[in-house]
Formats: sequence, structure tokens, C-alpha cells
Amino acid sequence: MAATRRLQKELNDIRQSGLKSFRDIQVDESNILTWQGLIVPDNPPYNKGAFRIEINFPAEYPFKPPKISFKTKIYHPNIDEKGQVCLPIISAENWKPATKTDQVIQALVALVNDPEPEHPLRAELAEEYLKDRKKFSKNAEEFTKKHSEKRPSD
Amino acid sequence: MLRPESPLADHRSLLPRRLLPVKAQIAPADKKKNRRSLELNPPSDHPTYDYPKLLISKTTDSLNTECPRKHLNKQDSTDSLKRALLAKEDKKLKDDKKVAKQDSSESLKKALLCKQDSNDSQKRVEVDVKWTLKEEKREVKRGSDKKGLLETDIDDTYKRIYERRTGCARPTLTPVAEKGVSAKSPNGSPITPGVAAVAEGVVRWGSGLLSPKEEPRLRPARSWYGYGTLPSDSDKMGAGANGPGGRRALELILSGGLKSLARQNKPVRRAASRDSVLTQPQPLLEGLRKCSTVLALTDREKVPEPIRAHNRLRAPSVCSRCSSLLSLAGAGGSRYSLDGAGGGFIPAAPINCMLCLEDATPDKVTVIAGCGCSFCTKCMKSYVEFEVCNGAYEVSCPDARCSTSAALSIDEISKLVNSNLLEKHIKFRINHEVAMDAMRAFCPRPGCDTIVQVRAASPAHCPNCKHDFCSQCNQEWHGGITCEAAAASSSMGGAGAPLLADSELIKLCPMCRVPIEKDEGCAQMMCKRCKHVFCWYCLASLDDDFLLRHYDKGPCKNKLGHSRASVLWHRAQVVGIFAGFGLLLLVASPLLLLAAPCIVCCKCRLCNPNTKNLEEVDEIESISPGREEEDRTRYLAE
Repeated sequence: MAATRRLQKELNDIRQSGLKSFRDIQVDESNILTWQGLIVPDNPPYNKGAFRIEINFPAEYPFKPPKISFKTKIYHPNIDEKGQVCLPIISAENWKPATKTDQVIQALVALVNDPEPEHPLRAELAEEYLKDRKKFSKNAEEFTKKHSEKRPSD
Repeated sequence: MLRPESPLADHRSLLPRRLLPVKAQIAPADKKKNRRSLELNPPSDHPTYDYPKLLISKTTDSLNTECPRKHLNKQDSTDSLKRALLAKEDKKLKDDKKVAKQDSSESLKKALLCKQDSNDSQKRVEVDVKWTLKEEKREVKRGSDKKGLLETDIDDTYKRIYERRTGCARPTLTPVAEKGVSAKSPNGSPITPGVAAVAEGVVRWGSGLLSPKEEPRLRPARSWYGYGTLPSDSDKMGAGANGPGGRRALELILSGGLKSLARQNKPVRRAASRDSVLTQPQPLLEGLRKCSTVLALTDREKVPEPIRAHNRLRAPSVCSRCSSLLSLAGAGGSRYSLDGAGGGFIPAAPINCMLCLEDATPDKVTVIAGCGCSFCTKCMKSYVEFEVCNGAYEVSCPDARCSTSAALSIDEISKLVNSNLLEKHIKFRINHEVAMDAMRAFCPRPGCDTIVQVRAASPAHCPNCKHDFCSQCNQEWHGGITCEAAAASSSMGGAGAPLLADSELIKLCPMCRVPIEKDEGCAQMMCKRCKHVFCWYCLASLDDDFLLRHYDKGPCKNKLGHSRASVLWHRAQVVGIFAGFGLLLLVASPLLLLAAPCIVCCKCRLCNPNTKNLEEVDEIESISPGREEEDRTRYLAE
């Protein structure tokens, strides 16, 4: 119950604040524990598209962290083929209940914009990122063009 | 600062005695001379020192025309009336002594009662008591003042304010206000009531900051202001006494006249230390002076009865200076304002709890002592409960941006969770601590949870069950041999190291050494923890013995505990299952061969980057994680 009320507030706050990098938030009225939205990164090579993510909040939220997964495929060292993402602030051992969803989203956007090859989920991409940045950028750009969603016009 | 043209120059002596600390310590012989020297050579370079003078000038002005004390006395309870009359009528030395004595004993009682009111102010109360006693003694010695009168007046006023506001008897309070501003004019002039009224105004003003709920803790707030006027004055005096004739005064001040005042400095510093805005008392004094002025004026024009204190500052008719003072108090800490107990600060405005994102009133807020972060009590309760139920070793501040991220003390946790959970938490903590501590271990005997001091290579002795054990392998003490050798020898002949007398019922798993009790069933045992299958009697492994041929021969022959027929049936079943699987595989092999290309194709499609729709893939793969998650939540809920 507490989770629902807090999430409703957070959702309203995020919608009102008009985050530029997180748009088109879709929440099922019957289940506020699942959000979908578009991540709109600013940095190349991901700035040619938008990426749909899903945030799943546990019933124990905010005492347990939310889970984030990418619904759009992305060529990124920290996001695997299944869409799983390794975000330290929502890991179980680091999670703090006072952390709000917009902070989580901002951390996620920052991670998408600037990959962290030191803690990769896809080691081969991290290696490419470190050793041959040009090739990585080219691959990622192509991949983005191919798979990502259209960026919102405004 | 004393301007000669001011009519007040003559009333210099009317200053509250506290504001002239020199006097108290002057030897009777040159008392007069010394005071004169101070008066004639007033401290020169202290522009704000005019505070007490102005304060008095206004109030005497206004109050000389209509003494508020009269009105107060009219409404006083019979008790205070008696006392007041007594004090009024008997101006003789003897009677004054009595009154003073009576008051001192009374204030003592009050102070003692006050101790129960708030623990925070306990120390200060004690100091107050001492101070009051000392003061009284000195008073009696001198025997020329009307302290008793003042005391009763002020005290009864508060009693009345409190009773009217709360509808119940006011907890007795130590008379602090009169100490701060109590007027002791040596010539017994009408200044006394005036100053009393000022004190009252100041006090009312001070208490107005507090909510009615805080009323019982009102006293320290008064003392705050009471004391607050002093240090700067005395400092200024000390600093300003460098004039030609001021040296003697300075010496006197330094020689001990300020001792008492120096002691009073303490509470002010303590109170102000929390907020940098208040470390300088000067602006406060400025505002205070002006406020009291206004109060005194309103007193004259309007009501003789005391102003209702708690709402004054928030009422629309509030003096602009007061409100500006309030904003000053709020400027540094933004959400903090002055508080009563301990002279400290508590959050006054509703706090937005970062856990539920809702506003919580200060009384429903829990402040973490370690870092000062505050959250609503309800959220903190559920947070601590959640953490404890999840086996947290310590519960830290839930805010990620809190730099200290202080852990809650056991005391704080005990206030938030019920005793059952607290017990659980303490158990968790002890388990963790012992597990992390190489010097301690739990006694391995079941039922004996004694924590035993251990040292490597020496037996650990449990004082509770008088039993020696090896802290390395948690087995019986095995002397000089290594734990491995001991384990090997015990598994060979010792039959699972009979730890207990009734070892026929309880044995240790030969694999993971977890104690297992056999209450019924056959001799083929499977450890619930490590899934190791073994014979109960000889502890030999039966992991590969599907057909239970172990019980056909050897020491355990026919000791299985099943009839011959059932053993045969079991064997038939095992053989049947194996045969069935083999047959199925044989039949299915052509089909599998046919389907192989399709399967490979499917696999290809999965890893093909061209597949646009990731959801399909996820559907297949997210089934198992989803269920896992469900299971976990259910497990946690249970």
C-alpha cells in the first residue's frame, strides 16, 4: 500500500518535472508497480534513437529496489542481450529506500551516455570499447539505427 | 554609553543587579566608590550596549504609569496573594528574609520536580538550583531586596498562563526568568515591577515560539532568553572598562565578580551551538529589546492580564520585528526553530519524509541521532522491521545522500520495533559478531548457545555444559592430531563422533556434519542439507548404491528395516525405470535426428541480431526468473 502511494507521488513528480531524457511514461492503471518509458540519451553513439525500458517495482518498495530492464536492444557494455542492466544504486546491497525513481533514471541515463567498461556485463563489448573506440562507435551507431525506437520530436 | 542628558542617567542604579555584576563582589567598605567609578566612566567602545538601558527606559516609562504587577496580583491565586501581600506589607529586613527563605525552598522543590519533566534540562536545573541557593544566601545576607515579591509574581503568572491554555495544573517550574532579568535595585524604587514586566514580556515572547504541546518544557526556553541577555552585557562591560577609571572595575570583574555570570554563559553557548545564526547573540538581543518594548507598551494600553503566549508570533497582529526575528532563527537551518528543552532545536515545520514523500508533523518524526536525518516514524518503523526481518546486521540511515549514513543504535531500534523483533535483531547481531570474531565461538552442543572464548590449538571449554571442543572443526577436543585426521578416525570407527550420550538417535552427517535425528524409517538416510545418502548404522555412503546391495552382506546385513519383498520390489522399480528411459531414448532417437535441424534453426534465430522483436525471446526466458522472484517474495512474506 505504501509502495503504491509513494509510486503515485513519484510518477506525478516525474511527469510534472518533464525529464528530457525519460519520456513517454506508460503505467497501467491497475498495476502501478510496472512502468515503461523511453530513455533518450544525448551522447553518441546512442543519440540517434530512443530505448524503451521497463521498471518493475517490488511490492516491498521502497525498502526493496526496483528492477530495470531494456525492452529495446542496445549495443552497450553494461547492458546485456536480454536487456538486463547492472546499475549499482539499485543493487540489493547498495539500495537505500530514500532514493527516488528519478534519481535511478538519471543514473541509468548517465550510464547509457557514458559506459563503464570497468564493470561490464558484456565483456567483449567492453573490450572493444576500450581498445577500438572507433569500431565500437560505428557498431553501436549501426545497431542503434537498426533497433532503437524513434526519438520523440519535441 | 550612558548619556548625561538622559533622564536615565540617574536611574543607572536601577539596572538589574545582574547587569552590574561588579557590585556583588565589592567589599562593603569601598563598595560605593567602586560603583561610582564604573558609572562615571562607563565603557566607551561598545555601540550595542544600550540594550539594558533602553529596555528599562521604555518599560519604566510605560510601567510606571500603570504597574502591571497590580493587575497580576489582583488575579493571583490566594496563595500568591498572601505571599505578595506579605512581601508588600513587611518591608522590614526580617520579613524579607523569611520570604526569601520561603522562596528559596520553594524554588528548590520546583526545580526538583522539574527534573522529572525533562531529562534534557536536568543538568541545567541542577545548576539552577545551586545558583538559586547561592543567590538566596547572598540575598539574605544583604537583606535589602524584594526578590521574593518578584519571584512569586512571575511564577504565578506563568502558572496562570499555563492553566488557562492547557486546562490543567501547570507542572512546577524553576524560577529562572527572574534570575536573568530580576531587578534588584538597591534603593527599592518602583523599578522592580517594571523590570519584572520586562522579564515577563521577554518570557512570553520566548514561549510564544513554542507550540502548546511544548509547554511543560517551556522553562529552558525562558532560561535561554534569561541567560541570553547576560553574557554580552558582561562581556561588553569587561571589554569597555578600559577607560581611565574603568580599570578598577575591570579588575573587580575579573577578580570574581563575573564568576557567576561566566557560569551562566554555558547554557547560551550550548543552545546556540547548533545554529550558526545564533552564535552571535547580538541580533537576537536587538530584536528582543524591540519586541519587549512593544509588549510593554501594549501592556499599558490594553490588558492587564497576561498575553496568550503561544500564538503571538504567528498571529497577524504580530510585531514585524518578532517575525523578522523568527525568520532570522529560521534562516540558517531553514526548517528549524527555537525549542525549549535543552535549549536545542527541533524540526518545527512539517517535514517531508523521504520514504513516503508525505509531510509529517514534528511529533510524528523520528530523528536518527547519529546523522540527524529525520523521517516519519511510520516509515522508519516499517524500514527497521524490513531490515531486521532480512537479517541486517545494522540498520543505517535510509538516505543514500546522507554522508554519515549512521547506523541506528539498539536504543533507537527498540523504540521502533516490538520486543520480539528486537530480540531477533540482537540474536542476529550476536551471531554475526561471533561468526566474524576468531576469538569467540558458540558451544557446538545442541541446546547450549553459550559463547565461548577460544584460542587456536587449545581446547575451548564451555563453562555451561563443562565440555571441551575444538574451535576449528566444532568437534570433541581431539588433542594433538589435526581436525582432518580426527574426522577421518571418527568416521572410520567412531560412527560420526558420538557427541552426545544418546548417539543412537542423533548422528552427524558424514559429509557436512550436520546433526541428524532418526525418529523413524529405514536405515537408508539422506541428509536434507547436502543430499548425501548414507547408511545410518555404519555411515557408509549409499550414493551409488541404487539397488541397496549394502544390506545384502557385511555388518549391516538385513538391518535396512524393510521386508525382503519390499526390497525386491524397490529393485524391480529401479531396474524398470532405467529400462524405460533407455527404451524411450531408443524410440525417440530417429525423431530427434529429424528435429535437429529445426532446433538448430531456432537457436540461430535467437542469436540472430536481425530479430527485431526482443519481447518474444524474453517471454521464453523470463519465465524462470519470474517464478524465482515470486518464490523469493513468497518466502520473504512467510
